[in-house]
Amino acid sequence: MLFFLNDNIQRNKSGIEHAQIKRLHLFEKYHQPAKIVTRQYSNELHLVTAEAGIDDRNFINLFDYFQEACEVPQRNIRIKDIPVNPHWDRKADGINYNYYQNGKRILYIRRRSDTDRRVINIQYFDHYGKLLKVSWFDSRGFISVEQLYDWDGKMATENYYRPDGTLAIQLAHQQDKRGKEIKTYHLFNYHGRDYQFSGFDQLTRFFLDELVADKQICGEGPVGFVVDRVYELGWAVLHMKHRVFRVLQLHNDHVNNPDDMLHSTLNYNYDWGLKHLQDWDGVIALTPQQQEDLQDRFGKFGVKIYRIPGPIVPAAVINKRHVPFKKRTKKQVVMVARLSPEKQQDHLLKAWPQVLAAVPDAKLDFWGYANDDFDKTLNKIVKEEAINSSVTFHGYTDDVNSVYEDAQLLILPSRAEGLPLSLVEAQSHGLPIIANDIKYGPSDVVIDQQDGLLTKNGDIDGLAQAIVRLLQDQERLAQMSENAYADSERYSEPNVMKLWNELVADMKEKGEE
Amino acid sequence: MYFFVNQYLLSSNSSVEHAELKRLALFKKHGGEAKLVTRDFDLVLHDTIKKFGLTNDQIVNMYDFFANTTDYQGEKLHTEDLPLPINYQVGTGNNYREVKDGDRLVCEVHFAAGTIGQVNHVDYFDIAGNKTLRQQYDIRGFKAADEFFGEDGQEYYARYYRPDGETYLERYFVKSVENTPINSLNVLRNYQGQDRFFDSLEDLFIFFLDELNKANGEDNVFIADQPAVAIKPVQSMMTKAKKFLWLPMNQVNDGQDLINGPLNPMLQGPVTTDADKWDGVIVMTAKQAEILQQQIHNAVPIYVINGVHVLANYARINEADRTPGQLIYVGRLAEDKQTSQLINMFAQIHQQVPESKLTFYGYGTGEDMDNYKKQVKILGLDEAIEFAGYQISLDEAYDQAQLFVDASRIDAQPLAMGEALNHGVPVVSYDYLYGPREMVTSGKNGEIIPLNNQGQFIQTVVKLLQDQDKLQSLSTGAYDNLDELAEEKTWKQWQQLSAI
Repeated sequence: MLFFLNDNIQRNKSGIEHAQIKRLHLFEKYHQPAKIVTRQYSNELHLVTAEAGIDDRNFINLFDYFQEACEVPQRNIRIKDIPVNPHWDRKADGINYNYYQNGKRILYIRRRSDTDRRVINIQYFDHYGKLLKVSWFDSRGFISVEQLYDWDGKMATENYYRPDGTLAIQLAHQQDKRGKEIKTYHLFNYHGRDYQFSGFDQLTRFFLDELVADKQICGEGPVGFVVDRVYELGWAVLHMKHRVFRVLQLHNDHVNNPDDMLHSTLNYNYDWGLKHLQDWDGVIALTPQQQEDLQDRFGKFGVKIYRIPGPIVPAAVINKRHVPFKKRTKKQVVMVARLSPEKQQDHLLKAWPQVLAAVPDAKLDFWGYANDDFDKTLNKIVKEEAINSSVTFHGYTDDVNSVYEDAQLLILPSRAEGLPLSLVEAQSHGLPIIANDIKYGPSDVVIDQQDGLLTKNGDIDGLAQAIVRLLQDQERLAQMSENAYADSERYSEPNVMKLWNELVADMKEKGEE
Repeated sequence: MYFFVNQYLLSSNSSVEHAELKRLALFKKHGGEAKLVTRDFDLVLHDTIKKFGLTNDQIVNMYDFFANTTDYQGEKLHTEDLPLPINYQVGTGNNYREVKDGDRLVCEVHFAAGTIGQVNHVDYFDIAGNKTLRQQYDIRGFKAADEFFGEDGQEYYARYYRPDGETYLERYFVKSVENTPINSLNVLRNYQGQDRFFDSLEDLFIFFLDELNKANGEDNVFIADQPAVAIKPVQSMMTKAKKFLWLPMNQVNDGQDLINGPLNPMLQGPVTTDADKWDGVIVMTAKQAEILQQQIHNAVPIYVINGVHVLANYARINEADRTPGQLIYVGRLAEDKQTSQLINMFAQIHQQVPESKLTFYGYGTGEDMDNYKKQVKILGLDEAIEFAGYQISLDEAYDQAQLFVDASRIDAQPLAMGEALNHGVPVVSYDYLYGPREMVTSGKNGEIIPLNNQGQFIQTVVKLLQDQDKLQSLSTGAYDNLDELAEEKTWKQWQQLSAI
């Protein structure tokens, strides 16, 4: 059993979650036991996993585990299912309801949304009008957490319940002498015992130890972890009492300064994990180039450096009929990535007026949600450059394939990457790519001049010229599109699974030691 | 069924509870169906009732009623029975034990007072020492409640459990303008298929009394014994019941003119606007009935039922076989009982009768007790005056005493005075309202002294201690004149109510 360890899965997924989900499906396809493991609570968690196509049987969340709610039959709780006193007065508030006893509001029942009319929470008030408690329904139809408000209106306790209504976890919020929050977790009647943990990492550590010893979940074979978010979870994994096979998965460049791979400070996400390198059974690099850089710097410690790409092109995509180039929207350019400074959408916007000068009917669409208010910076540039008639921001999309199959060209002007999923996905849908030749990924995915062009980071004129060159030569672009389809086979399921099988074999070997 | 409605039954009780205990014994002996009803959550209630000789069928507590645990029989629960993981190390101690994970304090296990390591509650702390949770254990060995604390350290939420772990009640507390907790919501969970919401503990108590009445076929008799806690809820019951207000105190507050002064505010409603909700007021003496009648006219029927009926005929002990010079006072120690005056008077008695001793049985507030002890020290009477505290059985103490002394200025019917006479202890008491005149006849079984005539009080006690023959004749008089307090007579008085 190989667990893919993450902190959380939300509706807006980053490349890390996408990579995990694809990896899970790959393992499912090859009948290799694997599960995604997360630790953050959400009453919508199973809405999100269902939408993402994650089977509950291959997904374990820390709260679910202790709440005995990993797999719960779906119940849809409507207003009529809440046993309110028939003598109370009811008043509608939009799609929600207030209830009054003796003229005082006592309950407020909220629904999820206009389109999802199920109950999301019940709020309790006393006759002074003070909010006392909010009971939240898990999307599967049971009260999974109650938030309780203290004398000063602070949420001092969160109680998590099992579907049978018994208390599983109490999260106490208190403050230390400096007013800093202290979170304490109580675990009740877990195999007949009551536990207390002085923080979330302590609870996570305990959870992981219980998980790897749980034969019902792990089966009889060896157990291992691929830690996809080592910044959040590395401490808990390396402090476990059970010593199981564990590897650190990189999702990005591991150094801050790619010009000095041997001495640069480490990316904060991997700093702690890599400083404990010898406590791991391996590190997974995403590309041959990253694997080589790691070997140069850390090879002396003798820890195995794997190379496994995160993106996987499903067989269905490999076998799909190619979109005839003529069917694509002419001169449509896209960028699919979070709106974020390291992605450097601003460089593309600054190059865009030059593109328009040469190709007046070119269009540029951005897909992805914004980080750190970077969308405001970008909107400002669009205004300054007066290019708003050809540039559109669309936000996050669940149907990115349609975007890939409609455009003629994808741009990725980032300053740093791990192995950008969007490049492999775009390529597998026959989309030619222009990307900065940075660490890591673009040079591994894009074969320069064959299925796209590699550009120099920071060279805005060069970027503009590359875009113009391809948009003006539709025949060459059509050939690149055909090449893209062919080149993406490097990320096919059998090719990637071969790499994972090597790691699984190592896990089995260590498990037998 | 008769229900005697009170707030609690504690390990140390006042005369209200003692009167109820005597009454329960009387009903039991005569085959009358009666139960003590208590309101407060009490982890050790079912140990306390054993100390007072009660059985589970003689008491019903509100929380037990809703938890269905009135008859629950469990096992004693000790630290080793707690669900603590083996990772934690448990220390040692007689009152509580620390539970640690390495050097981090996880929780403290506190024991029930007076038990050998039986768990009462477990307090959990976070790494900064804030209390995050209190788990409360019933003395019968199950977790009965969890209490939760806000960032200010105050309890603001509690969940109450049945032995199987099911939650039957949730209580919420908010802050008053004086920073004290106010219970602002109680949710009775899934009671007969529905959650019920109550704004206060009193509202919940009223609901409980009605449900208790219904569960016993309705039309039962409810006696509101503890005025502050029982009057309003019994009065507010909606179901069909007979309701009587038991007056365990003077109807006029101490410090007022007891004949012409204003009625205690708690009684105002029941004898005026709410009079129609009551079937009667019960007082313990004819004199109190007479005065009350003048005060409230015919607003509510008044019944007299003796509160200190004598139950057993104790073996007669001659004064010569008792401890010479032993004086005794039993009851609450306080300034309406004029305890400090009694100490001062005893100082003079002791000068004249050096072998005399005074023993106090009972308790007072911490502040009062400190003052009385200081007073005794200043008077140099450490050897002669003893504060023996609260004791459940006083038979031995009465049988060793030569004289019962009472310098109070107010009461309704002093329970201990009746008990003393029952044991052949003559009484010297001030003539206060109400009680002494009903029980004591000067020269027959004691002496009644005009209120606050200290000189006469001192002289009378000194003379009696110096005249053992006189003392013996009063003791014999005490044993011989118990008819007014006899249980048969008291039981007949109770029959009046059944006829209503």
